[in-house]
Amino acid sequence: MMMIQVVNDVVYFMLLFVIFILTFAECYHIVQVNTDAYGRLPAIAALFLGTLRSAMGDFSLIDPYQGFDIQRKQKPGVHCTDDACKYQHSRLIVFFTFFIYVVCVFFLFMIFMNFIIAVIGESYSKVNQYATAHDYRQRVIMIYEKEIHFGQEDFDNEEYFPNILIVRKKK
Amino acid sequence: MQYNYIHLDKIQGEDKISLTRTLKDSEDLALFEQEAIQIIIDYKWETYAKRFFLIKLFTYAVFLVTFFVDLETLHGNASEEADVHPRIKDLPFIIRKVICELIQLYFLMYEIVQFRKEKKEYFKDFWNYFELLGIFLYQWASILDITNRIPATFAGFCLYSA
Repeated sequence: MMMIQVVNDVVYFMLLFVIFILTFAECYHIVQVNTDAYGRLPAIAALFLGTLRSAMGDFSLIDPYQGFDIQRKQKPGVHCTDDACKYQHSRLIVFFTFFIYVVCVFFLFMIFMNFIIAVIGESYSKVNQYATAHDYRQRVIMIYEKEIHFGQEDFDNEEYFPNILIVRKKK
Repeated sequence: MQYNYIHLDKIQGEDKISLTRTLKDSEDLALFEQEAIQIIIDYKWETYAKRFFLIKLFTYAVFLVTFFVDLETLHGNASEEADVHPRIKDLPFIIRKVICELIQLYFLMYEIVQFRKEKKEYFKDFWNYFELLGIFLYQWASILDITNRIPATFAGFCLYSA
């Protein structure tokens, strides 16, 4: 039941989130961002994934094919049989870089990011206390916007502007 | 059973819009926690405002989808080898532009009516600026697109920055 409740709560947020990502993906598409890394995917789908990745905290700062293990470009004419001479860093350094990377992700993304989310959640619950009042106020503003488009015949409409409202309540 | 009577005729008086105007301008949130106020707002909302804004939302959704499809065809046929792909102006292009323009025109008319009724009040709500900006920017982009200036400007910009 709790899962259903949570999914119900975030569905509109997710919808908004998707619209935002699509908007940015379309912006990237207009300026023709390179999407070679995504192979045969259509550009818009690739950019959608790219934007989603950056929204989720994508940490692939270097070439998406190679990660941190950067391959040095071979000079023409130089013949290299040893595997190690192709790479820029030694195996130990590469392993260590990935270790630091994992630690960094753990602290920065998992802990720090969740702090931010917790803070946002707290402020949301504060707003939520007065949600009904805010909701009614917002609706009044919209009703007013509709009413200024009314002509005299609408104001005389008995259904729109009745003389009396009778509300029945069950005790 | 309990029956509550709300004498709307006595509350709203002759100028029937004054009730919502007063409520709209009220800064006191506690007012909207009053049951009678909530009932009045609920009634007005369900009777006419909700349907109207749903239609407006639907219209805007149609515009967004059409505009999105239009933007997707901006770079022409990308499989052809060329630096600048000219805009393909076929029948679907014209249909898309006409749909977008009609919807934008409707929104513009809506804003004009709102301005004429509200006068100075219109410029106090800052969302209205966004709505005007949206209409204006779409027209600008649309004119650039129709007059074929987007690929040229874009290429020119690239050359300039390079």
